[in-house]
Amino acid sequence: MAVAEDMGGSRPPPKQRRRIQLTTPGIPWYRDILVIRILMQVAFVILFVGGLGIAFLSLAGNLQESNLSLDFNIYRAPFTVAISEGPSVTNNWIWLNGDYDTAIQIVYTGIIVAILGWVGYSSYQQNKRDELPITPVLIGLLTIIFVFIAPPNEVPQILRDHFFGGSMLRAFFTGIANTIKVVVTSLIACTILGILVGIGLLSGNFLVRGVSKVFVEIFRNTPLLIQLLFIYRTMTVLLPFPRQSICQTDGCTGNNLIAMNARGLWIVNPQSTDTTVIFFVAIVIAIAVAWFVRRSRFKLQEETGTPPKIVRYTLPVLIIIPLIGWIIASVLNGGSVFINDYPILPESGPNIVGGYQITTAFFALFVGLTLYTAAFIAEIVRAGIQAVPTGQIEAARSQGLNGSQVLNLVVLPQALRLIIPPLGNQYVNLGKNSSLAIAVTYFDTYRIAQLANNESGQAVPFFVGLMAIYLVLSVTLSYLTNIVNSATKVKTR
Amino acid sequence: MSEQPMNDSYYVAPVEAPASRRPPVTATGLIGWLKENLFSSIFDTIVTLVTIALVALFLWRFLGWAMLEAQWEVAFLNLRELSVGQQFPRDEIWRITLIAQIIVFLSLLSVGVWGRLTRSVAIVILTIIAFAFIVPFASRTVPEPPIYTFVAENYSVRQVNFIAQEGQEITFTLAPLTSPEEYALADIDGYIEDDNQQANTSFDAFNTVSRDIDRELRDPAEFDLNVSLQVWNIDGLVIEESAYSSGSTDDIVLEFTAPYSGWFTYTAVFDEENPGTIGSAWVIADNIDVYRSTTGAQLERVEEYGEAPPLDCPGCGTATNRTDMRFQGTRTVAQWFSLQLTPFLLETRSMFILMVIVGAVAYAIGKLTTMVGLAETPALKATERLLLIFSALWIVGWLGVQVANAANPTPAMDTLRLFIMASFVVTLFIYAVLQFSKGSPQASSQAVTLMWVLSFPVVITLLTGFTNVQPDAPLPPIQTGLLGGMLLTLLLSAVAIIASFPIGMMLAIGRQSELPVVSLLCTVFIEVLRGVPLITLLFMGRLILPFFGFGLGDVDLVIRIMVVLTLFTSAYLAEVIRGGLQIVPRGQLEASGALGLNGFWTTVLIVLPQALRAVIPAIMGQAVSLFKDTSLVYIVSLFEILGTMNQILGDSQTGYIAFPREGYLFVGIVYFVFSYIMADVSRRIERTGSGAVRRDTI
Repeated sequence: MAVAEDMGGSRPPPKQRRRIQLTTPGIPWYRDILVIRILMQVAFVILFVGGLGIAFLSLAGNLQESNLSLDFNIYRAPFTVAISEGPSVTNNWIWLNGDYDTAIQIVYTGIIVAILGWVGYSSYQQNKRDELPITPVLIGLLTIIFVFIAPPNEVPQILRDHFFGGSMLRAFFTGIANTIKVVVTSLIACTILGILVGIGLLSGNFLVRGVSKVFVEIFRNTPLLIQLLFIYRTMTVLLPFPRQSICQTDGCTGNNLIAMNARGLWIVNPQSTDTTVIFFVAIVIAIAVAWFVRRSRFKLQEETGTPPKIVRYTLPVLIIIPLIGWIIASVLNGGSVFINDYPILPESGPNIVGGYQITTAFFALFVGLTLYTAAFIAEIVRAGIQAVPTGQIEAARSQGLNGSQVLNLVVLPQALRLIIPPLGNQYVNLGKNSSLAIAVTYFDTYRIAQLANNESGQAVPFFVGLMAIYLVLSVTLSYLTNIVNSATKVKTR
Repeated sequence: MSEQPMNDSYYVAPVEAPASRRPPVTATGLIGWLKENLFSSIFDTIVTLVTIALVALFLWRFLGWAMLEAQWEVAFLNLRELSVGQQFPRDEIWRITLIAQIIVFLSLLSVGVWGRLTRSVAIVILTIIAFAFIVPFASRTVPEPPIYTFVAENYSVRQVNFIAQEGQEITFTLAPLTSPEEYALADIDGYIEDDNQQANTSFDAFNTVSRDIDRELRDPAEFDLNVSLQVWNIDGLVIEESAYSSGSTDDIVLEFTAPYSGWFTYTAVFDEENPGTIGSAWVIADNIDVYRSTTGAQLERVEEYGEAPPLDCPGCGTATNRTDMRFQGTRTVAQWFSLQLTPFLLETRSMFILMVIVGAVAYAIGKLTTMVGLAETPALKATERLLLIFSALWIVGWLGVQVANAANPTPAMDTLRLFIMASFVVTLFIYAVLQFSKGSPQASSQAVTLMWVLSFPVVITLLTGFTNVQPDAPLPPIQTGLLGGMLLTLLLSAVAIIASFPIGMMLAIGRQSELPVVSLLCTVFIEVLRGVPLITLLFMGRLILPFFGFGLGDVDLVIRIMVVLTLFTSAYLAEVIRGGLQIVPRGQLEASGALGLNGFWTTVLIVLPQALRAVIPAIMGQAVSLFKDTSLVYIVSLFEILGTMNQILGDSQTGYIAFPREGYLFVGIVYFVFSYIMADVSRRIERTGSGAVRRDTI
């Protein structure tokens, strides 16, 4: 009680509103530091803006001399290179089809938000304040106002004529989709591999430790570009031509579950039927039921102290309910829940048809990014785990916890807080490194931009687009990590 | 020792310690180690066994490939290209060698003065030297593989130059290919390849014939060629000739004994009147030395036996002078040592040993200066002053010559400029030596710093040269566009890390500034550069920067990329340094303010020294990262080591296109060695405590 009273007693004095003073009394204004500061900053701004302006004017003039334009109409020009990979962005997207006003707003806002958001977000991170991040919130509000409230008619004519309806833009969207595809897949894979190797670095087993160490040193100390080229060229050299594909059936003409050649890897692609939805609903129900079971078991443990034995109680639920769903679905549909689309090598024809293709380029990029980033993540995980004092582990052991309990209940909760911030850095790096796809001829954003530039020769609009896309990617990855970070942070209040 | 009380109710410790017992065998020695580290539990045992199996499998497959199948020629026949680029003028390579020696000398000198060489490094170097002498010596006992050349109808008969010693007995065999099995052997035990794509034609012919046999378009048993084997001497006269095969499928054997030591040529010729209609055969030459086509080996050969004789192939369109004979195909481990490792070691050995000698001398000097020294006399002091005055005069003279040369270039100026440069360096060098001879650590340390600073203009002059009036004046200029290979990689990294340091420092201080405008602009710059991939910026440097005008279009691509890399690195470095700035406690700032230092001097004298020392490991990490990132410049078509390797691999003339794995692996190993050494140095610095605080800025 006494302590609380003390704390209450030494409350800081109430804040007084400081009057804003532009000058210090008694000093002539030209020698006043406050005035000089403001003047200096104004001069700095003028210098900076002037420099930028001169550079921009010079750029515009030179481009015009070379018969190139600075405007973004180039995104409407046709993109003639065939893109062999990625989703085809069709005309079904309304805002790609003609509703320019909204689209222009979204894209311009996207660019502004990307730059401001990144700056604001990182300055927020820099200060590590526990308050509400004001800059991102402001930017978000501005975005909403700009996109949804501002009437389309008020968009300036000059903006309305630009940007949309062109195939180059569609190519860009395909590129973005491909970038996201490779980033998301390798992000998941590199996290799992990195954690495994990181634990391996601390293993008591000499061999495991050694192998992990060698793995980390090799992949950390060689450029990613060389790794990508090596993996890609090795695959194209070692794997057979399409007509000599490797698969289970003789000559690949039957229904293969998996098939492989130098162009890629094909796996069976299950297509949903009318009753497939029943099966999926059954899975959802199973998960929900299992969650309730788990909760009730924990409640029981709290009340009576019975061991929860989660696996023993939830596993049957997770198996039986989907099984019932599967049986109902197959009976209703006459025997099959999915129609399998098998990869088949036709009697005549250049390559395998059917199935889901994972191209060699994608696979090489995926493997390269995963291994490279995993090596860095492993080191982060090792450092995080080593930061937990050994005494705690010994104490936990002496309390009777076994190895996995020590890891799950004592080490990981503390280590995670140290691991997650640098992990976020690695994810941002991964996103940026995905632009090396150009070395393995994967159609990502950067490659599309370069192809578009080769076609039109107008580098500036594509460069601006590239910058914006990668800034958005960095911001998104960074922000996602931060959400996870604040979720795992120690709650002090 | 007093008498012990004999009382049953107490336990009395014995006077003498109990005899020490050995711990159980299973807890000590090798078995104990194994038990603790590999087989501590059942799970552990399983993990160990699985790991052993996987590692063994991997090593077996990898080493099997690397030693028996891989063609490392792609690396060791192109060492010159990989180190300085394909377009670098050959006559000027000595400059690069000299620069390398200077840097080795100064590095080891610094190590000698400031620290010490660890024993492990010395052991590694000695092992490599021993290896470089033993392997070539031992590989002489490995017999050379036979050389195969292909003969077929409608296909030019091959000629091959070879060197034989007097009295050497060589067997040539013409072996007709008469069964499908012989064609099915795609991995032939060895064939030759030369400068001019002949191997490709040879193999094309072989593949055409074997495909025809596969499709049953022809019967291999049919052999109707009328071929004979010939050996020519250096004057182009036939000195040995076998009978014509006359359509017979029997092997024809030609035993040849060399009448003198030197060049010969062998070939298979068709009978001009009746060449035959169908069939194909190998010409197998046994007991011939396989040529080493490395530059050193070629020079050695020319010195001993003269130039190779020109080939004037009767009846074939391309008469080429083959200087190159390579063994390809699968091989034995012994042949890997003799054919792949030995040439590589022979090529690199002299350079390596020179470096070791220079380094050892420098290290010895560095160590000696810290131990013995002259007494400081007035004469010594006077000499020092004189030298400093001299060097100041040299600088004035240098500037004068530059101005005069810009106005009116004359041949005399070329020489004068070189002379002034050289004597300036010599003057300061003598000054540094005098400093060394004092024997005090401070003086030596200053002298080393001076020599590093001194090496800068020397290195840059050696690298860029002078725009001379006379065409044959020493040190002609080298355009930056001609630089390539490892040289460009190191140059880009060095320039970027050095130039980005002041910029990064200013950005870091600017971001911490109290002035909101300055802070905001610095933040924007740093964060935008950190938020985009490097290759987007390189894309800008290549395609957009020229359009900004201000003469940027005339600036060479190498320079533009250097600028981009510098700005990119400075953004990262700024963040690293900011981490260091934050560790300086506020109290120190207040204390320095109380002492009357203003903001500038507080930063320079109090904050920066501590901040920079704290982030040395992080800066090293940034250097490693930058060094790896220089590989990306190949995407904007600058040919650093990876770009050069790509050029070599893509060159259809050389036939290296089939060996990308070897090429990339070699470049990867080079990068690994450099990065690992840098990372290791950084770790050592961190461990010694020079970097006070560790921050994981990645």
